[in-house]
Amino acid sequence: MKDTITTAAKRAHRAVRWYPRQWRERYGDEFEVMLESEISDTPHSPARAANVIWGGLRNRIAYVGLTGNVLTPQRRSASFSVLAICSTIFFTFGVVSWSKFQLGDYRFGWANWYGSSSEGVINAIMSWAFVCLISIALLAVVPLWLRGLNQALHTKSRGLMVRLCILPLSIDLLAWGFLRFDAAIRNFLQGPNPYRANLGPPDLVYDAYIQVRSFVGHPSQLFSARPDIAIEMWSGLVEVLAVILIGVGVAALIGRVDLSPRMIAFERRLTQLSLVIMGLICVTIVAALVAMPAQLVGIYADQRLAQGSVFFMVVALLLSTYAVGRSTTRGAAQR
Amino acid sequence: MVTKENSNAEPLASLGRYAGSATLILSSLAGGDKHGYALIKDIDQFAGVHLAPATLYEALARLEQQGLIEALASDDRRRPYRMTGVGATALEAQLASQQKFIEVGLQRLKQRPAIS
Repeated sequence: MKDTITTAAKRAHRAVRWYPRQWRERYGDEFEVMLESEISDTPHSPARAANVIWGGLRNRIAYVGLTGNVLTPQRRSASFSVLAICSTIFFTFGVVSWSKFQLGDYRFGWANWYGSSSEGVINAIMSWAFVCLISIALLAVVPLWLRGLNQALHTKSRGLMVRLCILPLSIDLLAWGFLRFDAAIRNFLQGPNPYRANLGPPDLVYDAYIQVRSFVGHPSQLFSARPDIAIEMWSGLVEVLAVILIGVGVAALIGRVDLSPRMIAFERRLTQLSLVIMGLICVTIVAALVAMPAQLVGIYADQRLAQGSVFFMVVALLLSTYAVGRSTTRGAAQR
Repeated sequence: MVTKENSNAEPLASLGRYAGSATLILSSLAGGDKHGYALIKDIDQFAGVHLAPATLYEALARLEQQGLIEALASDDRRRPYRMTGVGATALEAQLASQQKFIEVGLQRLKQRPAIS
């Protein structure tokens, strides 16, 4: 009997760890002792375990300002609709970007028929890992970063600005490092390949140009950088589906959760950054157009991985967050 | 934004998907102060509904935030909750609105032609 109580206490203590620190400071103790009683009554309950884990995750989302209030269904639908539209823009760029990963050594490809079976597995693993990395980074961290940026602009805190710059640099470095790691694996398995070596930041602007040009120049061949190769279109299509699936998951999550007053207030301040965001987009496009002459000196797209796609995705999702926030703010002001 | 004022005007409905849990919790607290585990047991007994732990505490947090319940000091780790006056008013309004459609439903069942 004593052992049973001790086991239940340990399990309850572990379960409470799913919740964020702030929540545990307020409710942790009483929640733990209640869980202990529940576990003693019913030692094994998958439904209870799932409920506790899901509650912990929801509270973690709430404590970063993404939930906590109850919006009317109309406002929630409006926010969802705005996000869907902005996500379409995001996915369009994402489609072009992901299709660009098909160039050269087919680094990302779910249904890639070229190369050995090991390359197909590596493609799949790397693709999904990369998508998860970007999704988690953008969904969970970008709103906080923008809030901090706004606060830094108001308080003129150099320390805060430096810390804020770490995030986008980290995302870019992580993505770049990830791709280099992927290149190292492939070089090890399949021998050195000069096309896998050049992944430096200077490719960013030219890659952005390639994406814009391919999208504008080949709208009917959106899924493939080389229209004469049909199979590349299908492998690009699978990646499109993967991106859409993740986007729907993100949109569904935001559609289901409620925006907290803190988030609404933050989104209001985000309007002050609208000019900055639009300016970033304009600079990117202009830089891409300026980079067109680079092709004259023999720099071909085949040697590039679209590192610019990361930049585009970040910018597009910032715009989506801004648009959603504007819609939500407008709705909250009208109530 | 949900406030204490509009929570009284829309009895518990402003809690969205937690309205059902909130009604059960307030009904249980109407019978006396209780801690979390006692609430689960009492609700299970009178309503036949087993509230999951996380669901219970999410509802408790919202009710406390809206001022419908308050946490009491306690010597042991179990913290009891008490319904406030605002909570009692909100519960009464909620139950009154539910009673109305219960009565309509029962009346229509009585008036329904018998099926042979």
